[in-house]
Amino acid sequence: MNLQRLTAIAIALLLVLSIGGTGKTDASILESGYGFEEAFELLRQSGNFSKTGYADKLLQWAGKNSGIGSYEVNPEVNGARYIDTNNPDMVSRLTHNGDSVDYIVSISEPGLYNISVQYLTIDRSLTANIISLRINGESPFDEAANLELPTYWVDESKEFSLDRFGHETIPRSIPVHEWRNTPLYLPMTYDARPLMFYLNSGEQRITVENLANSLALGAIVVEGKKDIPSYDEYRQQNLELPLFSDIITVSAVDYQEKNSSYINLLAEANPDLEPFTPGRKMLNVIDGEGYKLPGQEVVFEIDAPQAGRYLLSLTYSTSKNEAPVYRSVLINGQIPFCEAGLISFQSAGSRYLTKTIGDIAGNPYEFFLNEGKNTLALRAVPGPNLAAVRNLTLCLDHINVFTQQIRRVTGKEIDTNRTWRLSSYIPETADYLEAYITVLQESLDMLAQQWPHGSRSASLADLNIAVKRLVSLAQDPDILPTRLDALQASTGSAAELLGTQIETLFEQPLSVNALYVHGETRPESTRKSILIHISEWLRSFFATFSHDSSITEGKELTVWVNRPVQQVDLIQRMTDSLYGKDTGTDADIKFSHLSDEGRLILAKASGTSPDVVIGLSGWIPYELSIRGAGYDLTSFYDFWTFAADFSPGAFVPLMYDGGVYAMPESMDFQLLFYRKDIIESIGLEIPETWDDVIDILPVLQRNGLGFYHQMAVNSAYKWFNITYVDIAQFNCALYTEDGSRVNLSSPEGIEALDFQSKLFTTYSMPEQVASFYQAFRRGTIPIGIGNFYTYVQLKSAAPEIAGQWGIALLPGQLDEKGTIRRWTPGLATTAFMFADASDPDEAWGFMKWWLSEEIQSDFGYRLQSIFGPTYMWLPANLKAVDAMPVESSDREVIREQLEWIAEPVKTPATYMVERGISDIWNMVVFDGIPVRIAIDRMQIEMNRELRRKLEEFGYIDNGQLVRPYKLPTVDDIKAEMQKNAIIEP
Amino acid sequence: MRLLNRSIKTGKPDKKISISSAVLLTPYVLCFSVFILIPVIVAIILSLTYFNTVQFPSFIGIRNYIALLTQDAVFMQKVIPNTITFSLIVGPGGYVLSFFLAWVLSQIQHGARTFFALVLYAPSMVGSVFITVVWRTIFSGDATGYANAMLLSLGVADTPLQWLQSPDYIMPIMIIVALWSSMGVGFLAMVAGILNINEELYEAAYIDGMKTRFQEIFYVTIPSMRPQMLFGAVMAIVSTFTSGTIGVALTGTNPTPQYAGQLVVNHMEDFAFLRYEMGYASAVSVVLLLMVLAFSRTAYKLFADKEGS
Repeated sequence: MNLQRLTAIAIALLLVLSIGGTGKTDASILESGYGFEEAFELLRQSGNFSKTGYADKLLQWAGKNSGIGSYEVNPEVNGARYIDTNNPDMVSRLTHNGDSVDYIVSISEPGLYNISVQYLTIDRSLTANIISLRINGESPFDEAANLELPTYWVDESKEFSLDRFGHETIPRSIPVHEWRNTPLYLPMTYDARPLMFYLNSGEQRITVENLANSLALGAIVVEGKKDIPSYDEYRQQNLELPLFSDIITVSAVDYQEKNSSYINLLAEANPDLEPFTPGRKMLNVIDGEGYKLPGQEVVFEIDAPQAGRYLLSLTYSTSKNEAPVYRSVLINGQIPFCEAGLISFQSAGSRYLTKTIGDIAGNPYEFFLNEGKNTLALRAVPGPNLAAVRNLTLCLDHINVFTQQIRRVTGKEIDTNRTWRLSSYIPETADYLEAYITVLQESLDMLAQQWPHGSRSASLADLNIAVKRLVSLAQDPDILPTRLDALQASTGSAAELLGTQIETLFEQPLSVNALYVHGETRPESTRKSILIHISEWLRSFFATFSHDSSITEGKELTVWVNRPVQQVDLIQRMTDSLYGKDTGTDADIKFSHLSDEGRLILAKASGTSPDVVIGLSGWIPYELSIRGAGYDLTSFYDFWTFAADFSPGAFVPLMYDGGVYAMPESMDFQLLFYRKDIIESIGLEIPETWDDVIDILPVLQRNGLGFYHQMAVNSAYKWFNITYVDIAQFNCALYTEDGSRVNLSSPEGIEALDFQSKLFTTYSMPEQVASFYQAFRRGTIPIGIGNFYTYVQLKSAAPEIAGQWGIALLPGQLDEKGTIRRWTPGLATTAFMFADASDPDEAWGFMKWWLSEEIQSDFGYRLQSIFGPTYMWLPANLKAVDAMPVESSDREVIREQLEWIAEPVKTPATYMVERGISDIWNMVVFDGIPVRIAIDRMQIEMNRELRRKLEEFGYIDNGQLVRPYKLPTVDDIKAEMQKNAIIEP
Repeated sequence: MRLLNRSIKTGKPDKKISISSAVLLTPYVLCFSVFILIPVIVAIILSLTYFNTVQFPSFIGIRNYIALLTQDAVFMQKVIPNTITFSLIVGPGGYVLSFFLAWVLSQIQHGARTFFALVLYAPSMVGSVFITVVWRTIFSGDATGYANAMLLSLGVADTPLQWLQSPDYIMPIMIIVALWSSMGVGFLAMVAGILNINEELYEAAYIDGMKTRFQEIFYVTIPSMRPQMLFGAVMAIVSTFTSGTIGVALTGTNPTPQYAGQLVVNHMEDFAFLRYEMGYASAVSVVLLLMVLAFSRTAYKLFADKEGS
């Protein structure tokens, strides 16, 4: 019977395809067969998905008139005003995250209007400005809750600076702090047309709420919707103007501005491109890897010698192998004619092609340019993939809802031995599965039309496999609970495949080398012969054997950097250009890449150690120093004054016998992550304390969801960065006061470790989660503890849940005074000076310079603007954190959490205590040993090792404590900082 | 062969020969001392010192050995039992397995034999990379690991087993993985040894009244390939005692949880690179050397040519 249904669906699909599968216009993409419509509706209705998306609204508005007239309205001034010094009369409002601004506009004719907003970016954040728009307090369509007002960026300089080897370096991107007026648009629309809003006549209140960075908002312009002419109409209008006869070449690197800092230049070693010099890296293309997300835009300036008609060509390449990528062409900020909204660029492998923009038949489009300066923008758009993306997203969302329904029937652990009859609990099971197949198959066929290899294309493989998986599940819908993994939640499940497919459909990577504005003279192909390629390659190869090294006079300082090589290059360049200027010394600082921290020990043993190491893991300075290899930084008179800019807790593991042997450089700590949408839908509050967490666990588990505790990381041993959270929050000191014994069997210690294991034994949190990031994206674990790396990952690589999640302070334990103790370890890397540094004063000067607020925030900023969002840098210098390029609301959370940094005190036997605590957890959770017994057993081993080590370092002699091992405390450090802050005027 | 022997026997030992043999020996002597002899001696010397890798080593006599034998609970309670369990199963087990598979291989024709020999030899080459990629996936602790997925689908287990976290499972898994990768150089030597046996020996044995394949193995194959058997045994002993990467690669950490998979080599690395006690680590390595030596002598006793060559 199922087979029959399937055949029926297949026949229906074939019919649909044979009737209407040729045209490529907007309408035909949305048009589809009856079976598909029905399936689509079934999924939409049963999944309770709203019908208030922009696409639905467009259908509802199909018969409405365009609005008439244009209204410019200033914001209602009922909050902080923003005073523009250049234009003091301008009415504008300063808004931070969460602020909203009202505009009252009197509309005379009801109809469809475009709205543009005047705004000024104030923050230095690298992320986009996000606003939501409401009309009379109501959201006009779902997407209006999340609209982007792009910050525009320019290159610091088009004279690219050279590094030591003569390679051109990527310039910094600088945000343009300038008033902009942008018609509101969605990146996720078919082409780059501005959004439409339906407004009734009379007074309308339009509310703009700021959801991200600080912004100044000026006037808005409400303007009747303008129809964009078709190309034929457009051409008729401009026919009498002359066609340009010459050719103007614009190199892509000379672009004027871009609306995303992730768009960057790249030096391609390809003789086809200009400029190219063998053996030297010349920036010559806009990198398609950063220029691929819908909405991203690059603006060129074109100086037209006369008003007239121009043809447009591009030298480009795309890494999308089989499918074309799409761009909208905007001339002076507007799409000149319909067809220009969707220009496809065919892929040509890795080669660069030169192509004149034109229609499918190859006839070039003629663009009208004014005399003088014109802007030409290329904006990435999803194009015809959009309809497929919508279908896939619907299926994906429905699968998630459906799985939750199934989980409600089956419970959290699914009994696979039971004979399931899911249809008797959820009668629609079979219908859902068939609806998925129908909708997905339709999308697949639709996509296959534009792919040269049809549905067999490798880039559609995910969708293909997902359909096959669903077909196999539809064979016997009743036993679906036992095969739930194939539907959702596991690697390779239909849901995950759809998620990946959606991402690949979104992306529109386009690398651009040059732009040509021309008439009849077409640009020549830049393609060179294979012989030239080979000879240029050989020249580049031999050029690598010789390089000029610059020699400078003065002192030399060797610094090893435990970071990737590209970052070492960046640090070297920053130092070369700034260090001398900032400090007034002429020291030559040479950086080397340190790939393995273990080498430091060997370097020390062989006497080849550097002066300073930066990027060094937080646990190493102590180990080196207690063996006499570290330089006591407190011997510099201004140490404590400088240290006051850092979190006092971060110094604890860097101290030994009263001295401080390294400076904190970067941080990494635990934070709470939550999915706003899911937590809201099941009616939960964000937990403040661990008791709150325990309270929400039953609700989560009832809904088939989980809480991720950091102890469930995918590593057998749990290190201090995760285990110490509970110990610090329960106020347990690791050692007795004289440092000679471990203190875990104290009441606080037992309480802390008992709590830590109880979360897994009594409250059955998952003991191992392969990837919190994946589970969080999928929504199976909508709340949990993650570190800064998780934050970066979610910020940069989870586009489908952007804006749907938030961070909050780590849950803590409530103490008697009513404060929530939210302690977390937080030291990531340090800057360390060797005891035998050639010039300690110079080295200290360098460390102070490197860790200063300006350099740290500049470094973080450059890292992200050059390498992209994944290179977020969390400096240890608190002042630099305040200037960090992230959304201000997140920054506040991060800043507040930094006040709660507690690091475990170091002793020579720290590793044994660390192991012991992990083993106690392991014994209690896996072997079922009572926590007190586990502590007693492990504490014997810890104490034995501690005594042995104290003896090694001369604290214990013949079993007697000769001198106490001094344990640094946060309070001592704070006191020291304050004392010195007073001395300094 | 015969010619050579005779010329050496009849020729008087003169200076020319001793110089030329000294010259010919030099590369070997140099390599042997630089790469083996000197490091071993240095290790023995360091084992008598306190050396924290930063400061200059100081001589402390046999204190390291005393501490190792009297105070190191982990060494005595976990490392030694683990190492012995592991070696007793993996050493002889892998050895027997090697011989059996080598014998099976020798029964099939040339092309297929080369192919299968390569297949069996491959795991010992790829080592820890393969362990991390393949075995950690198989024994992953969530429901997506192959072992867990199979047990769950068969209904044997209700919840995913924590293969690589729970101390109960680590050692058996280490043994399985070690057996899987034990077809090393010794195995290749055995294949070569079996193939080198003169076919006429078997024919002669059958004429003398041998009846079964089993007798063939016992009375002809094994006695004829003593050198290879000895080589295989020594290789098996050395490799099992010195294998430390398996537990660390599987669990992702050194030490393994509750020291459940801690072998002598892990213990040594723990002291050398995590606790910065090179002297102590050297003492552990010397003990390891003695253990390997003792077991190798036993193997010599068993397999060495009694006639003395």
